[in-house]
Amino acid sequence: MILLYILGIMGIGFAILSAGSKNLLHSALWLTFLVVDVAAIFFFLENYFISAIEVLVYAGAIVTLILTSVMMSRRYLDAE
Amino acid sequence: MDLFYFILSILYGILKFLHINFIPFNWGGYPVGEWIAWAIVGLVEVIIVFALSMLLVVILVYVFRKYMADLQNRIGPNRVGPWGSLQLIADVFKLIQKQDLIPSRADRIAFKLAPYIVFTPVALGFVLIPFGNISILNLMVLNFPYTVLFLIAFMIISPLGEIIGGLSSHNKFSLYGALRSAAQDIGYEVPMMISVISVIILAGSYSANSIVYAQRNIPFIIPEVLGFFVFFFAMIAKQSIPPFDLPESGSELVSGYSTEYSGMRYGIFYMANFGFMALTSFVVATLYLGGWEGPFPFIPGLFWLLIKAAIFMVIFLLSWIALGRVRIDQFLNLGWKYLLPLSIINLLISAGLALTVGGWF
Repeated sequence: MILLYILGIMGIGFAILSAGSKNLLHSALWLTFLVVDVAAIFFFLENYFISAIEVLVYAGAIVTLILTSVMMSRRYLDAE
Repeated sequence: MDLFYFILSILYGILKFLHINFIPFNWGGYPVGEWIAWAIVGLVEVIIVFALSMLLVVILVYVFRKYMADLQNRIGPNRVGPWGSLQLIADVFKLIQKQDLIPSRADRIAFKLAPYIVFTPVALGFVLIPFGNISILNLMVLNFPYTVLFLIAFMIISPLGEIIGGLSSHNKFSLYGALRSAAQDIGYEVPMMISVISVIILAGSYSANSIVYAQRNIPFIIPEVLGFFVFFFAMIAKQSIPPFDLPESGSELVSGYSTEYSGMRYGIFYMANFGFMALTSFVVATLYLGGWEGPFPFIPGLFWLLIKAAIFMVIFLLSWIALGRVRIDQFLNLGWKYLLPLSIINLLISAGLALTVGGWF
């Protein structure tokens, strides 16, 4: 129970970092951590299937797509 | 007997020997002492698996260097220790002593986090593999449904670290490496997942242990030759070893995403590479060759699993040393035009088998 609260607070922190970060790559990085954190919450709620699918779909597909589009953007490449 | 209860009984034995009473340590009616004992046992278990897998990686690196030298008419490492067996430890000390350079224009947070994103899934993946047994001691660390899904999920996280590492270096070669890494991931991950799904359909379970048990009569390599073929190619692409080492091709991209990494950060990438080689050979042996199942019951299951995995490790090493590199467009053609249709055909075949003679397997 305490573990779930800790994971939840961490998740809120990652979400704020991901949404508020000016740097596109950092947003994608914190989004990865957020996805793994949500998967961990599902895991400790003993919902293993949703937990695995969360990582497969979001970390496997969505974050890869976001990273690919970050690669295409001039804004990240020109940044210091 | 499970490994968990084995370590728990050892812990209680030690506590009894030291005259410490652990169980009645209550806090508001909750058996906190028991929970602490379980946490300690879980930690010890994970540390044991981690240490053994890292030992396996060290052995694998040594075998790789000796084998490569043998094929190239060299002697290989022969100065440090007997037959050069301590060379890798010397190399690790060299890497630790090296200055850890970070490029001034690099994205510092992402640059520092990337090696850990690559390495952590390897360390976690070893916990999920059913290692069989030694006489009555069962070596399965985690036994819950959906183990295979988690194995695949861990394999999918690590390329993100490669892409982030390549992007954050702010280096043209690293950027190319990251771009190729992303393209290659999308190319092999879909056929890999579909071939894993056909194994799951045929076994009727998501648990790695049940998949091994379903292969007691006939290993899945026989009904699913196509699926094995696809999964094997995907695993070679996963480790990015030749012929599919496009993200880190040494001669054209100066080792791709890890160009700017030096010192122990590069060492972590290196360990993750060899760790994935060991992990993927265990996964292929578990899914398609029957894991710890073997013909003679008096020989422990761990032995069979190690033999089957060692065959794949040698095949991977041979592919690394002997083969050339394909172009990126050739690899993407292979992934989308050949591996994906083959895996879908394999899915249909295994669905048909599961509907007709499924109970026989």
